[in-house]
Formats: sequence, C-alpha cells, structure tokens
Amino acid sequence: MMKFVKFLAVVASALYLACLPLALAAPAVTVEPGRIDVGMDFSGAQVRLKGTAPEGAQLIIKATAPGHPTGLSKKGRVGGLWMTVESVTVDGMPGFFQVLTSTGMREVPPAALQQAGVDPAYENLLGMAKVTVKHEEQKVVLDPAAGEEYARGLVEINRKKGLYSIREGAVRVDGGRFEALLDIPAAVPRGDIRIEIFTVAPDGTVSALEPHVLQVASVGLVASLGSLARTNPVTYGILAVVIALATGLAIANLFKYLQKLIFKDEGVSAHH
Amino acid sequence: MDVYLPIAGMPVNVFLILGLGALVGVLSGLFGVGGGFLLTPLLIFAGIPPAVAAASDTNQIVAASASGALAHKRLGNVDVKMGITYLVGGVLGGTAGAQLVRVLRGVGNYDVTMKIVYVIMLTLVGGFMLIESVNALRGKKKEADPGKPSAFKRFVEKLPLQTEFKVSGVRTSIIFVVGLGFIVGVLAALLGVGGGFITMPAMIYLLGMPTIVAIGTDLFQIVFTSMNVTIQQAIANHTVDVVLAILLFCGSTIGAQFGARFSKYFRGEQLRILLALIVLCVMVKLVFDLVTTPASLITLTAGGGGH
Repeated sequence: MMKFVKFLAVVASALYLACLPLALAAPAVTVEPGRIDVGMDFSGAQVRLKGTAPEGAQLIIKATAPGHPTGLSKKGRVGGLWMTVESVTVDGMPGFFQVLTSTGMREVPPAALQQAGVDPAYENLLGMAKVTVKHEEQKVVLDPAAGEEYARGLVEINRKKGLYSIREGAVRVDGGRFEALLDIPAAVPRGDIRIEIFTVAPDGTVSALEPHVLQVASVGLVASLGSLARTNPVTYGILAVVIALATGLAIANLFKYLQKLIFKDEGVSAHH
Repeated sequence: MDVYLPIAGMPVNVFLILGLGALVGVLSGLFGVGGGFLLTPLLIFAGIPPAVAAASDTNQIVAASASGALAHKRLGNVDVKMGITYLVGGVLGGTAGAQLVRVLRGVGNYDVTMKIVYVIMLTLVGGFMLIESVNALRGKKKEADPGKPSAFKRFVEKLPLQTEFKVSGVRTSIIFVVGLGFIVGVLAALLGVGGGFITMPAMIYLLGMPTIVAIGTDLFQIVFTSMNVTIQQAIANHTVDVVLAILLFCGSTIGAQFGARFSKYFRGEQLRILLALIVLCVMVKLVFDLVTTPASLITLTAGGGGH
C-alpha cells in the first residue's frame, strides 16, 4: 500500500517536473521527498534540494527543527568508576541543525553568515543554550561560562547522531542551478524541519528564498506503538505481555509440531 | 536488513538481534539456563540503551518461559503455594525495582548501577560454576555435611510464620520465601533477568526442594514476575520495546533447539566450564566499560530510549 502511494507520488512529481518548463511561475526550490515517514523500515533518508540561484552567488542552506529540554549528565571518576557527578537540563538548542554551503565558510562574508545565523563551529547554538541545574528543588540557571561545557557536550552528542552537521562545499552550483543532499539520520526528531536557503551575491547582499517545511512523522507500527506507550502506558504494557505470551505459546507449539515431523520425537524443551 | 524499533527509537540490524537471541538461545539450550543474564549485557554491547535492553529482555522472558511453565504445571512440577508466596515478594520487588530504575535514570546513574550489580552477579555465577565444574572434572566430590545445618538454615528456622509446603516437601518461613522473591523481583527489573541463577540454588540448596519442583516453580514465578515487571517498566520508564522482545525471542527459540541437541555431544562439566568462561568474559567487558575513561564526559542523563 505504502509502496503504491510512494509510486504515485513519484509519478505525480515526475509529471509535475515535466510540466515545469511550461509553467511560468516555476518554484525556485524543490524538496524531494517532501516528507519523511518514520516507519518500521526507516533507517534514515536523503532529501534532495534543487533550485535556481543567481549566477555567481554563494549558497547557504540551513535546516533546523526545534528541540526539547534535554537532561545531561557529567561523568566523573568516583572510586575508580565513572559515575554521574552533576545533572543539568539544557533548553533552547535545536533538535536538528544542518548547514550546507556552496563554498568554504571563510570565503563567505562574516556579515552574511551572521544574517543567515550560521558559523563554522556551532557557536551560535552555544549562545542559545539555557542550562539549569537543580539545587534543593530550586532550579538555578548556570551562567553561560559554566553552562558552555554542557552545551558543547550536547552539540557533540547530536553531531554523533547525525542530527547536527556543517558541510562546507556540499551545495553544488552549476550554471544558475544548485543541488544539495540533506542527510536525515535515523534519530531525527518528529515534527517539522524548516529549510532556509540563503543566496549571497558577490557584493555580499544576502537574500532568502522561500523557506520550505519538511514534515517528519511516525507512521504504521512505529506511530501506533510509540503513541500508545506514551499516552497509555498501562495498556501498552499489558499489550506487550499479551503479545509475548501469545508468541511464546504459539512458537513453542510450532516447534513441537516440527520436531514430531522431522525428528519423530517429542523434542527438547527450550529454556529448562 | 534494518528494522526501526519504535520504543528504542533507533534502527537495528534484524540479523544482529536474531543472532544475539540465537546465541543466548544456543547457550540456554546447551546448559538449561534461562540466559537473560547474558542477553541484557550483549544488547548493551550492541548499542541498545541499557534501560531499553533490560526492560525488553524482561518482555522476552515472558514469551520464553510461558510454554515451559505451562508444561511443568501439567506435569505437576509446580508447587503453587510456594510459587504464589514467592510471587508476593516477586511482584512487590519488581514494582519497587521499576521505580528504582526510574529514580536512577533521573539522576543519570542507572547505567553504572546496573553494570556494577551485573559484575557482582556474573562474578558469583561464573566463579561458582567454574570452581564447581573444575572440581568435578578432577574427580573431587563436594564433601556433604549432613546432619549439621548451616548457620543460615538455623536462622531461617527461627523466623516466624513457618509453613508446610507439601508439594516441595519442605517447611520454612513465609518471610524467607517472600524476601527471596522480593530480591529476585528487584533484580528482574534492574537487570532484565528472570533470576533463575538465584532462585534455583536457593530453592534447591537453602530450601531443600527437589530439583524438578524447583525448576517448575521457578518457571511459574518467572512468568508472573516478568509480566509484572514488563507492565511496571512500561508505566514507570517507557522502555519496553515489544518489537525488540519478539525478535530476541524468535532468535533464542531457534537457538535453543540447536543448543539442546548439541548438548548430547558434550560432557556436562565441559559445558559448564565453557558457560562459566563466557559469563566471566562478559563480566570482564563490563568492568572494562566501568573503569575506562568514556569518550565523552557529557552524556544523556536518561541514557537514551524511552522517556
């Protein structure tokens, strides 16, 4: 069913693209696929961004999604073992942050980078972080200097998960057209990813193209089991138990039957 | 081929998970043990968040123990009175254990705590098995000490609420049985194990139950303890991944069939030495994880998966 829908989508978009030369008001940017479905077969995705860009312009593509307050722990050595020595909550950092540029960032005027809200080392994000620590049931906001270690830690965690990335030179520009691939990792948060595209003219003027929204949503079993586990954990727990009991008994009987068939004996009981 | 685990929130290789299940299944078929105490650490080594690994392993144990328990019940090997008394402790312990997991995850020390408890458990289990089977291979017999009850047995005999358990043919204190069940329940939640490695020796050596009744009664209590822990973990920690559990179960069932058939070709002591060495290897790897400097000192407090 999903395959068929995807096929239809592909056919529809192919037809649409074929008609593009006829359409006078062709959109400047296409995002393909237009949404990300996180189903049982999801292991990440690639999104192709294509569009027209003024001759000689540099491009900056920024894809972001809002984040949630995240609990972070600092490990320290306690009696030879690595344990948590401090726990904080970090808020204000994006859940997804990818920057793709057509050239090295050093070749882009700093004012243009600032306008686009990007930099080569996530410094912008560190400034957004609000780090709070609990002291005797009181939430205390750490000053930026003390909180920076945690903000950097979260950047590192998200970078390893592929949620944060900065790829200089990843936007291909050729004859007034550009193309780039956005890598969506398996850990992508559900919700909307906002894709902003900035062009930087040779004289340094920055103009933003129409932003796109890429929807990321759970589908199928991932959606139904995930939402049941969150909204009705008692029912989910009972369901997990019932599924386990039914599977356990059914497979045990199946094996007994197979053994009678193959080995002509009563078989061996698994687990004791 | 990858499958996306809905609760763990990550894709895993189906064959890796089936293979881990099968590996533990082969071992459990070979040795006649549950194997939950190996499966959780192996899942952690494979990159599953520890809390999800433990809770999903518990879910898997429900599937793995159900048919065995039913078969033993039919054969009359279950001391229902003993099992239910044990379960009073097991259910309380499992419920408390899931809350303990929640608190520990809140302060970011669940991973280290469960690994420490695992190291202790695996050292005891592996060490005992190794010593016992090396002695057996050398032809040494354990000197029995009949007639002289240990200090521990005398202590249990003094506890109030002494009761007759007719099917097992033993008389002991309800408090002792409930207490034992409680400890195993807590461990079931904390580690994702059935706890057979504690229940079995306790029932056979401390309570003096016949081995076959101990096996039947242990399986009986494991089914219900694991059912309770699964539900409690789903409520308190949102860490039960039923897709992961079913994959593990399928792997382990297939593995167990092979393991049980292979076991005919080996001597019992050799098998037990092998299992002891495997257990000790897993223990050493956990110790290594605990003492080596982590790649990053800042980590997610909840350890990933399930919120």
